[in-house]
Amino acid sequence: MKLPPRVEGHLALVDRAVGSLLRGWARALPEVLVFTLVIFLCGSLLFTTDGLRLLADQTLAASPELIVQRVIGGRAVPIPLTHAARLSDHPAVRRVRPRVWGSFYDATRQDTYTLMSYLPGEGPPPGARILEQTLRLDALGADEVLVGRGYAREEGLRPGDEVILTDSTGRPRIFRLAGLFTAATDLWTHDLVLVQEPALRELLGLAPGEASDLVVDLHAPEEQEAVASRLAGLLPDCRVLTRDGLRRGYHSAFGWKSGAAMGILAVLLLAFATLVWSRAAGPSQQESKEIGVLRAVGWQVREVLLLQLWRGTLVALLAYALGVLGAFLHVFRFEAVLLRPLLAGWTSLYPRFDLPPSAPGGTLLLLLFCSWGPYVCALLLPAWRTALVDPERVLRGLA
Amino acid sequence: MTLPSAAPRTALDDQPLLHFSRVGKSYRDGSREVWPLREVSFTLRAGEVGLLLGPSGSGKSTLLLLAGGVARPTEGEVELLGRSLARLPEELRTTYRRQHVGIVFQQFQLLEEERVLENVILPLLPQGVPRRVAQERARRILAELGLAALTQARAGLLSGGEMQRVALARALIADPALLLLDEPTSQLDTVTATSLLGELARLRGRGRGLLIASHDPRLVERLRPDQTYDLRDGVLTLLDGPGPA
Repeated sequence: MKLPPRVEGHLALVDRAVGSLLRGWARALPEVLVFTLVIFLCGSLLFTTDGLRLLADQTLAASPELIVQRVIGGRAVPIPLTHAARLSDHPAVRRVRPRVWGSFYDATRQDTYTLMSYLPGEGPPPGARILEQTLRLDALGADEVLVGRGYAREEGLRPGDEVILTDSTGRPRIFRLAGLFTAATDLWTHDLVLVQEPALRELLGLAPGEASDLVVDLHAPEEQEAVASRLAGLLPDCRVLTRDGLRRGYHSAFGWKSGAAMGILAVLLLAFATLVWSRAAGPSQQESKEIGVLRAVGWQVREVLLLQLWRGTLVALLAYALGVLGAFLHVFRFEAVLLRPLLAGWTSLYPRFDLPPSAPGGTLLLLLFCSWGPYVCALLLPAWRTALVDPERVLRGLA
Repeated sequence: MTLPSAAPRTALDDQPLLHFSRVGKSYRDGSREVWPLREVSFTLRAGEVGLLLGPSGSGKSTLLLLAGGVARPTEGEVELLGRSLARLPEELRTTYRRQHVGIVFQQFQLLEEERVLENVILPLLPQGVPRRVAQERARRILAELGLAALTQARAGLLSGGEMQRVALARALIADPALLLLDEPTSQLDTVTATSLLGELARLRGRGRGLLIASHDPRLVERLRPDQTYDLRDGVLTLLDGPGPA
């Protein structure tokens, strides 16, 4: 097949660029490695935060629109069920359900765990598998518990084992472990102990006419912000959290953590910048000679620059492909093992979780342009300076 | 022998191929201005061989680089095929060079990390000549110069004579009208030099102009040039030939 001369010219340049990279692999290898490492870490960070946001979004999508908590002196306290009746009367409210939950501190392990009861009507989306065993949440026995994988691991528990919890009077209560939550729900269930409501009220010392908080479903979920402010006015001793507000909070938290991690990466980025700068400072003697020879045998300045552009692009694309692939596997296959402690945990139990695999186009493009752009510029600038000089001066070593 | 030939000889062959008119070239060496060439004038026609004799440092290489449009004159005119190289914009000057001039540099200026074949096809790469075609042409020229077995050898591992021939093959690959050779025999033993001069003698019969710079006066006998000049301290003197047009 006969190709247009312009295409043939580009193919020849690409071919030459590949050949020279293979010949000079010893020089190119450190650059590719540093480059790959930077993209791997930045990519891991971005994929993890993107994945956490996506996971938070997916989970919050099944959450109630509003959560009402009673706050006294800046501290959340049990909310009387009479408040639920007042909220139910509001025309925007479709349903109000009291929730019973709390936390307890395990002095032996110095960990805080979450205790929660099953809330009828609130569960996983249809078809979602949240338990490793075939169980129904609403069929949990009065003396049975379900626990997250983190709690089970810390306590060394397996289904059928005894679980000892201490109630509000200090008396131990013995339960049987009926099952474990799946890894897919780790972000939310890792430190969770699910107990039937009567037993949980005894553990927490919660009176029958009280709840930990209230969850509110609305007729028009898209108006949750406006309704929330009206309900807050109705119950001055309460604060009303919206699902959208929680989502913003999670996004902001993950964004902040991502920024902090980026700061740690700054050292590596500095090393990369130094590499780029040394490139930009000037071509090596060998590169200068090559440019001089190419110019002397009739290459235009733009053709020399095109060759450098292809070289830089090949190095950048190779490092990009390796870095992104490595980051993808690291985050979605190996559970972001290097970044998880920094990005995910809010107790000393760092959740292990299966993030939903996703590589947003924006993230991929950001990584591409932040890596390819500076590197190619660092190659082109000195080559352009050298190529502009009379090739005679380059060949004589005068430039 | 099928070395690439320039266009068949026509009446145009009597037209000047290369014309120097009062050409001077200066460099700045610190605060001092050095003039390796002054007031150089001569004409080379298609099919002619011009020989520049002179000791090392006399300005021969500078003159060749000016003739090939690699360097620009400080004063005067260098015309190639009737076009003033100094007045051409950089891009056109480069285009003119790659279309009409082949240069064999004194130090060969090969890319030593690369293979012989890659060195030879360099001038053709950006011109859109299919790589396969360029490689076939390079192999043919290399074979005719006795280097068929070395096409895949690294240029840096060759002997001086082999490097010289690779540089000659690279200069010939684009079938130029003007071939410039800087000290073509300086790094060759007698046998290799004789062989190379045989090749050059064959090239002169193909309507191509040759301008050769050398410090070796024996080339006058062995090449039988149409014009012979002596270049000393930047001043050109005609020793034998028709003289400036």
